[in-house]
Amino acid sequence: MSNKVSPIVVEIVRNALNSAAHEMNNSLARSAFSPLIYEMKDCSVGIFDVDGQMLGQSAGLPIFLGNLDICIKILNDTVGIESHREGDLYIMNDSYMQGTHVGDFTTVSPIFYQGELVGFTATRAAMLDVGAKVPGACIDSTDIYQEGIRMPPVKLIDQGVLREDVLNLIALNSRFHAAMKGDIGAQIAASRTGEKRFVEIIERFGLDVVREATREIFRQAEQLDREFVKTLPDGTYYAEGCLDNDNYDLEHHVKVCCKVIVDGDNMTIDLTGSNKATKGAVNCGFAQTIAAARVAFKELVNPDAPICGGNFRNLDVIVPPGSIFAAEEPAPCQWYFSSLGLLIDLVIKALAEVVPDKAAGAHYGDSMVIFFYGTNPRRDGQFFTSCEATVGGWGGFQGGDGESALINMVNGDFKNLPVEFVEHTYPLEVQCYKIRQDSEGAGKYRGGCGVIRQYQVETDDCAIGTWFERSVTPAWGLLGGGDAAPPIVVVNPDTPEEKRFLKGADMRLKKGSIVRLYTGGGGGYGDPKERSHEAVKRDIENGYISLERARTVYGWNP
Amino acid sequence: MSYRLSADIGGTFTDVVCINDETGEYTTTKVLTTPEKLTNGIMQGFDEVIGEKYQQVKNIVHGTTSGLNAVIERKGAKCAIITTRGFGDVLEIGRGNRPDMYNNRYQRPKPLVSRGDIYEVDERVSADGSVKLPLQTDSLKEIFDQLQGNYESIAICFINSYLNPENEEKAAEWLKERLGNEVMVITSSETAREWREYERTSTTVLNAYVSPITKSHLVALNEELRKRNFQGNLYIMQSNGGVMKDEIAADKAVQILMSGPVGGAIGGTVCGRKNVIGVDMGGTSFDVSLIVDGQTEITVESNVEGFPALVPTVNIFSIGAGGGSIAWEEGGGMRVGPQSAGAKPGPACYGQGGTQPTITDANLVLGRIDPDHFLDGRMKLDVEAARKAVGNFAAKFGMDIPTAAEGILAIANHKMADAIREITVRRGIDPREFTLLAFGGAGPMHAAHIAEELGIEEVMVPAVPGGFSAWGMLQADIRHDAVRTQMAPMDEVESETIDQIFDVLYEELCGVLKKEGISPENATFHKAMDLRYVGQEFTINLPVDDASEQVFNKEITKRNFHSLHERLYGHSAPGDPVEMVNLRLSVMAASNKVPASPAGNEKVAPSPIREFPGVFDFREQTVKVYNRSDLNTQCCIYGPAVIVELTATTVVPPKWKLTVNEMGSMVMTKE
Repeated sequence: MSNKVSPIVVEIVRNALNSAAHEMNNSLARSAFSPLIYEMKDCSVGIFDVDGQMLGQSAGLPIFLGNLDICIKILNDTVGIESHREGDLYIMNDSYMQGTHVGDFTTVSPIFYQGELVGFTATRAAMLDVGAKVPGACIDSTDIYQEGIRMPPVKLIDQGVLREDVLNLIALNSRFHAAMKGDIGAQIAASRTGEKRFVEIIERFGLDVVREATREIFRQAEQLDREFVKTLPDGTYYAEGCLDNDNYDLEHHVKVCCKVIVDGDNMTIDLTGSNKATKGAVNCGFAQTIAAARVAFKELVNPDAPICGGNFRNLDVIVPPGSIFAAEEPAPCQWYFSSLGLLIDLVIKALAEVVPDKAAGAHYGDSMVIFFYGTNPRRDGQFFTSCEATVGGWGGFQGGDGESALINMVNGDFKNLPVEFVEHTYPLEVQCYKIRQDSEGAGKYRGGCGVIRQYQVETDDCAIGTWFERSVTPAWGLLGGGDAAPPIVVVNPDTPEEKRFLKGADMRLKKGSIVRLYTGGGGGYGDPKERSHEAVKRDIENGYISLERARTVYGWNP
Repeated sequence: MSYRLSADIGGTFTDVVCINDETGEYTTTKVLTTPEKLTNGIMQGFDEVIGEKYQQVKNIVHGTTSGLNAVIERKGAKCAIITTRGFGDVLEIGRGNRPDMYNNRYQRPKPLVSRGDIYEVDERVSADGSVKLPLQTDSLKEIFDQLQGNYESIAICFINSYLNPENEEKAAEWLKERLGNEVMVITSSETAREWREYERTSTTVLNAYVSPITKSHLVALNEELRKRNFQGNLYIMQSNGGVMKDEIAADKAVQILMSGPVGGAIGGTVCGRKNVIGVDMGGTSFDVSLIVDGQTEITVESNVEGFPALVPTVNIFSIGAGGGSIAWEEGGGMRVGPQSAGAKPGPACYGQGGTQPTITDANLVLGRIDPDHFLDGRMKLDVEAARKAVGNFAAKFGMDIPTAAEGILAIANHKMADAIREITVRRGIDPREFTLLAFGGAGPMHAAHIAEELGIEEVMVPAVPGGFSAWGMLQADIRHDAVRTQMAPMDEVESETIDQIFDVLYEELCGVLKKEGISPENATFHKAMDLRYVGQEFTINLPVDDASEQVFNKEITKRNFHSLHERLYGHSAPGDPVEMVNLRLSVMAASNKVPASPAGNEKVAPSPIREFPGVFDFREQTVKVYNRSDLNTQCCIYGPAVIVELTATTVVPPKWKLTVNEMGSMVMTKE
């Protein structure tokens, strides 16, 4: 064989690198303290080459796709690549650098082989508490200093020696010192696992072969990305939408503009026109905006394949400076993913007409978060906090109805809390958890339905905070499909004290109060009048749509 | 003479093993599975190995994927759910998670019961276990007309019934009185008395969905056996690695759903090694099981085609790689799997119209399968078709056929090794300290290569590798499990309370043992608890002392929990409060172990049945083919060689040697 590496070896190396990333993730999950990491998979890990290009990644949450390479670049720009020594490890969490909220910690560690810098490992994991002004997450932060500790790249391990003073400094900023130390320890362990596996791969195949194979792996990935974009007709496609508000300025919607330009085998996502940075916490760091654009791209191209540094080379993202998508100090970023969820949906909407077989009506859109906190009379007045994300409907698509009651895009494989868990653990009774009839976006292929979840408060000392979104831009339909019902939170429905709202901070509730959540459905696909008779009949029989709605919207007339 | 029989019914083939109880000698056969009436295939296989000597058969163990197939094909019973008002959508909503992360058109598995067949009634149990609203029979009366005559089974699943089954039991009683024996009425609290309403409902529904068809299958089988004068016991293999009597199984079919590959894991516990990685490779899947210190790993929850089942299950990891895995080209790169050619059309060499190269085709063109001795010569393989398929693939990369074929296998072997490494690392286990036990039709073909990747020094291929799962079933003990959810901080709960719950579970299991015809003195009981640190959702299962008369010791349990946590996750917090979640009791009654089958010890060195050119390490080498039945404990075969037998093919690569141990297993080690 010539100096070109055999395609067999290339494929073995490709699989081995991805497996090494999975092993890093296993190592992280195995030693993490916080269920955010080992249960909810709020983490991401990767192995990178010396140029910071990704060799293998294992992302727990979809939104964490391809967002670590930029941290390596920032680190190298900050400290200088020549300053790295074997055994070093840096930690950082600044929103404006890593892109996400400060609740996520990122580590980067150089990998050396026979004294030569050959690559990096990086990990990101969500911390239980990073010292925000309230436990968990702020709903109403107006600058980043309220959201917790903020770190540029800080050297945590110096040539194999842990800097205890630095670790203590970081941990003292959390309400849970020990858990934070444990979770950082898990990140370190994962990082070391990745390093060990990468060095083993190099020892096995030789550094030159690994480098040559890497070039070929990148080339393959780039070719597949380009081949796909080439199938799209050249042109400019556009979609826009808005968040209801930033929870500070309630009068104004937060606009998201998304122009997709297809030119040969290149794609540009241009966010020009999107809202300028806001006082409320819907801003997002540049790095995470890029990641979200990549997630949208990934939904269209080879969704099941692992990604690498060869991907996204034909994807350019234009982020307007000063906008919510390029947050700058001191813009708060806690709810960055609300903006990004909308951005991802809009990219698909813009391209829907040219990828009708890959697009779907929009999904219900956001995490629909509710916090309950107070004291629990059943447990000697102990303080409790519960935080739940609520499921909703997904969009219909060519050949299929959208699913009802699934978690939103950015949360992936995240599981909701069982009713029996909630009732056992908190002073709450869940009175119903059911599919919300008629909340679907109508269509030849209809959207899925949202849900109704109702709680009764069983303590006099209780408050709620809610972050419900996407009522002004509810899940839209495609190609003639209808929009879905928007979400709403109702407290004490059908009483004189009834209150209807979406976002609310620190609302005190009395024992016996009812909190009813409605989440939205998914958008429809195609004209509902074209929906098959049997499908409408089945929907009526199964109660997804009412007879009345069937008649007026679907033209049901048996 | 007395015999034991076992049948492992797979999707395509039914493996049958007959063992002579006194000598350990065995006969095996493989027959086609007959999905329209499973009994036909089984009886054909039994007749073949036992002839008319059914009267001398003491035990029959039977493992079946028929229930699983009913779930996959949605051919189970017509089933209704009755639940608490407000919670009719528990089954559809599930936990709301989306395993396909980047798929905006994800569809969850279609529920086994559609929304129109779910009924809500008025009743409520509170989170403290008290009855807040007694069952309102009026609301049952309202739906009774819709229930009557329309369903084969009814699952009753109320919120918080794990704490207090009173309302569920009342509803069941009311319905049974009016529906008679025709309709199976089953409650969630009797199926899986554990918290988490979705998981419990899913388990109950799976049971209601598959029990009626399982029952009719078992009745039919029993009839055929009695016709042939069989007077012994008929046992059914369970997912938990134990067996139970057929009449018990008829109402607990959910417990046998994942029993298919379990027999192999049980077989691994008696292969003579303490630490074993079992690899079972068939046409479409590659199943990995772990035996650590002689024990299989049991999980308390499993997943049946996307539906959770709260059923203790031997942990088996399935990886999408099998003989049928397809090699393909993408972006100028080579890929192998996870798509499979399945059984139809199957690999190109099956001559059933498959044109894409598979792992089996690659093995064939490299001379690692003898085309004339596949399935002991029962199936002729088309070498030309395989060469053509691999050739077309090779041309895309400008390679010759053997290089491409070796490439396909190398990629597949590395992938399997990577998967095993991920599984073991997650548990803090070093694979190099294990023996690789290879079975299934294709496992022994790849085992040595996979072992080499993992640094494993010993590969074992048991007697009857293709029917190993059927053989393993005959080694299984009778086993039953019982569980209660009782959430409380360990520091606040009295030891007596824990003992009382275990007493209740003990009585429950004694009731089942009675049906097995076994007295409690002849059985062993094992207690375990699912524990966690306060604040965690995730529990770990900790065995607590076995002796049932001993008073429960909280301090020892807590200490053991901390150290188990340390072992599993690399850290623990001895100062932090521990919470108990579930209490579990299992009972086992040991079966008589089958004696090892005698291996020949003739001094005669076996001679190859033929030699032909094969390819290893990218060069042509002469491969010697041996018949397994010609081998004996005195022989030592050096690679490259191929050992053929009815159910499997073993490949000995260059630099590896193969011997036969006194149990009749082939052992491969690197020179």
